[in-house]
Amino acid sequence: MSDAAGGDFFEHFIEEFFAECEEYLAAARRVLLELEAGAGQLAAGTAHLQELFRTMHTLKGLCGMVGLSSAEHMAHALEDTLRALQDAATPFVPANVDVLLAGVDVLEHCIAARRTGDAPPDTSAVLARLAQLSASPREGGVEMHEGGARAHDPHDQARDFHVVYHFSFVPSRELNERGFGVESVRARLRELGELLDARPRVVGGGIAFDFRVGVAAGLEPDAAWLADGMTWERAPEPSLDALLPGPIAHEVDGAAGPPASGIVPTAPTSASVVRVDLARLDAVMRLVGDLVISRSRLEETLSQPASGRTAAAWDALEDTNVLMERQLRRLRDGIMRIRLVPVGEVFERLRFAVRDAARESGRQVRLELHGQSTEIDKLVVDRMLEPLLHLVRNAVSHGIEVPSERIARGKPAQGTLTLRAAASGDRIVVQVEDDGAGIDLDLVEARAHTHGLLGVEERLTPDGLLDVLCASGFSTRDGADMTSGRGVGMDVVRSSVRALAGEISVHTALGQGTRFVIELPLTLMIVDALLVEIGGQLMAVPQPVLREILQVDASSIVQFENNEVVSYRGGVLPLLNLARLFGFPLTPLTQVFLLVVGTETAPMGLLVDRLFGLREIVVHPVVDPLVSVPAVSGATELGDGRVSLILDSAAILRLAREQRRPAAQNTGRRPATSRPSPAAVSFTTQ
Amino acid sequence: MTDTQRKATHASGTDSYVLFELAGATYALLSDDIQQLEMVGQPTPVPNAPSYVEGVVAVRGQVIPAVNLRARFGFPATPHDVRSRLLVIRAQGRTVGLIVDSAREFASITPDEVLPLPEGLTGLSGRYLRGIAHRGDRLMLVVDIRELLEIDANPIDTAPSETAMEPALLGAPL
Repeated sequence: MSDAAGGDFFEHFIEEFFAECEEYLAAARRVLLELEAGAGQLAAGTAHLQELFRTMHTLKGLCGMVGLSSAEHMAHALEDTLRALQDAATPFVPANVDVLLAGVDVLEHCIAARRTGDAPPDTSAVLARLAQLSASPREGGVEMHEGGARAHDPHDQARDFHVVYHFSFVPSRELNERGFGVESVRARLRELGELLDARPRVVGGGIAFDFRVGVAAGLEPDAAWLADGMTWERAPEPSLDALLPGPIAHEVDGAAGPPASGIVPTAPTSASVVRVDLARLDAVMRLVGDLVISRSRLEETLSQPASGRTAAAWDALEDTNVLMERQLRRLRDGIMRIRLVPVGEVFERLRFAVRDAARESGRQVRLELHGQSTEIDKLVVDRMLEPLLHLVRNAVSHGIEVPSERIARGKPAQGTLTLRAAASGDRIVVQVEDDGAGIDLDLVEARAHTHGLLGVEERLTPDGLLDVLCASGFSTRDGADMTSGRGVGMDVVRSSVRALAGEISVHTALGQGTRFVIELPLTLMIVDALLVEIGGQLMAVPQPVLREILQVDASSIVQFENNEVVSYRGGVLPLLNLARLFGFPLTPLTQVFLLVVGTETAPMGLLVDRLFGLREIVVHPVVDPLVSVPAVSGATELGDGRVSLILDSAAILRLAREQRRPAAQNTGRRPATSRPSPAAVSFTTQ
Repeated sequence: MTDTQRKATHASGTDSYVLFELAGATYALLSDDIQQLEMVGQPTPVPNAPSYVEGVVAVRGQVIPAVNLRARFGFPATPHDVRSRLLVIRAQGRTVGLIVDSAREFASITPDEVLPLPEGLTGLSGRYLRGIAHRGDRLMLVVDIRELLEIDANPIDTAPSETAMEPALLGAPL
């Protein structure tokens, strides 16, 4: 196995891990909410606790698998607490859900920290609260390490194991083809005893997994396992304590623990893994099959002797071309469909925001979800989470009134927040609607006047409302309260929506409620692009065209006649100063960056001022003749509401080459992208 | 503007116009041609676009040109302020933003009220004005958006300032 293959394997493995964790965490939260709703109904509660326990047990195993000890620990503590609650004589109270939710939150952030490479969050406060909860049926201090947990472990044989084995497993392609992988190893080891520890290790370019298993007296590994890439030995030391993390609970005042949501402010990023319906994959496979047939038709036509290439052969070629074009389009649509996921994923996550916001702001809120199965591009779903979170928090803490006020207005004490999703042609419409106080247009108008957002005599129109709400720093509340003061503002909401080529509008009726309507495209054209700065402008260069990026001293650039070059791989690399080409102000820099584009034999360096890294960007076409210039292939929105242009490096190269040729040659043939437009480009290099 | 509104305006025999100000004169554009009114953001400059194009802006998920109408008509440039507006017009399959000094009024004008341009008005402004309407002593220059876009699409260069009609001149008694 090569280095790269090993790396890929691990990457793939870890992505799978994040996706799986996400699913289990979502399941855990759903159960917790059900548990809270049905608190007091003892029988249902027990079933829920059992389900949660199983979920935590799985998560613990998963986290152990990748050596994520902070998360493993957290899951373990949750598991422990759940067991204690199941055994407890006292009935389950809603307050318990808070503690458990706090634990799930921290667990999620431990996992997210691994994903982002950040330091794991501080778990001690939540661990202590969990410990306190699980300690109630017992007495005295709490044992938080494995020793304490084992006493309650359902695997009875693990209770008094005597021997610790070290197992090693090296996955291979052959084993994988036989259907034997890490999961199968884990299953076997769990049969054998208790899995104490598991972590991956890089060996000679590949990857191996190490496990420690506590095995009960009388049980031994099966010799046949050797054939499956597993090796093992007995651990020298019988003491378990050395293997386990030290006690992590302290004497604490549990009640003083911070609320769950106060711990980590940002939402964890979601896994970049899509689970695909097999039927959709089959459809794509069929399309690929069709293309293979088309290609063989093409080959057949081409294999005829050149002399026999008649008009009929030409027709056949054209037919095949048309056919392949249609097949490719279908293939693209098929792949787009694979990218679609149900919008319900996001809605489920919003449940918690609603619950927390209602709790913090003293509101009673019922959440209604409609159209969760509506499908939308995975990228759109991921990027919509933050803006929707904000709208939902806003609706709860600003829209819906406190119960007393609602009753005074003749409304039910409990407010209703409705999230709807529906497909409409090639657009998806997502609505966030509350039955709260509505937006006071007069108040907004007054504030807009004081902020200078409206002229003195100017009236606020319904269309202008969103503009005013989105003006940065605008709030109709005097102080930012805990819920809405956090996260993104309306301006960020709108620019996130627009960055996805969507549109947001607001409809409000005083005393009746507010509805935000977000329209999004079903699928998007997305490219990876490098963001660069050219003469103070942020621009995007599609990543596939980049051969190489060089950082050079400005002093190493040699000028002769009209050309600029640097030495490159034993030869010279001609440069194109993009700021000069575009007529942007030139920034004197000591270090510049060169984007090497073009062909291997005729490379060209595009000179840019700064690099801002790679991003996935959504491509918007730029079609109006006023602004369709050959050097620009499209535009994108980068989140701050401003538009950045996407450079068409092929067109730039073509123009640069033409401009070097004598003018006479230029008139013969126009480049394909050039068309009559008022913006006919004149590229001057002086 | 919704279809029902559109029908309503036409049925009553008057047309609804959005009024905007530019260099001290009032212009009128048919509401039907206007998709929306926005605050002027920061347009992103497009290299080698005509000088009166400030750049591109994103409106409803679409990236459209923002034309500085002052520059287009050859009036001196002024910085944008809180009254500046982007009129997003939609006509002839194109969506284009026009930056104007302010836009905050509507007016209903019957077709009879739109008087033909006086003879002798030539140059660029004569081509994009469909007529002039009076309201008391106030003059409203009725813009022909198709013609305006037509001019934009033609590969002629920015109009030099002397071809633009001074509003003071238009305001003189006809």
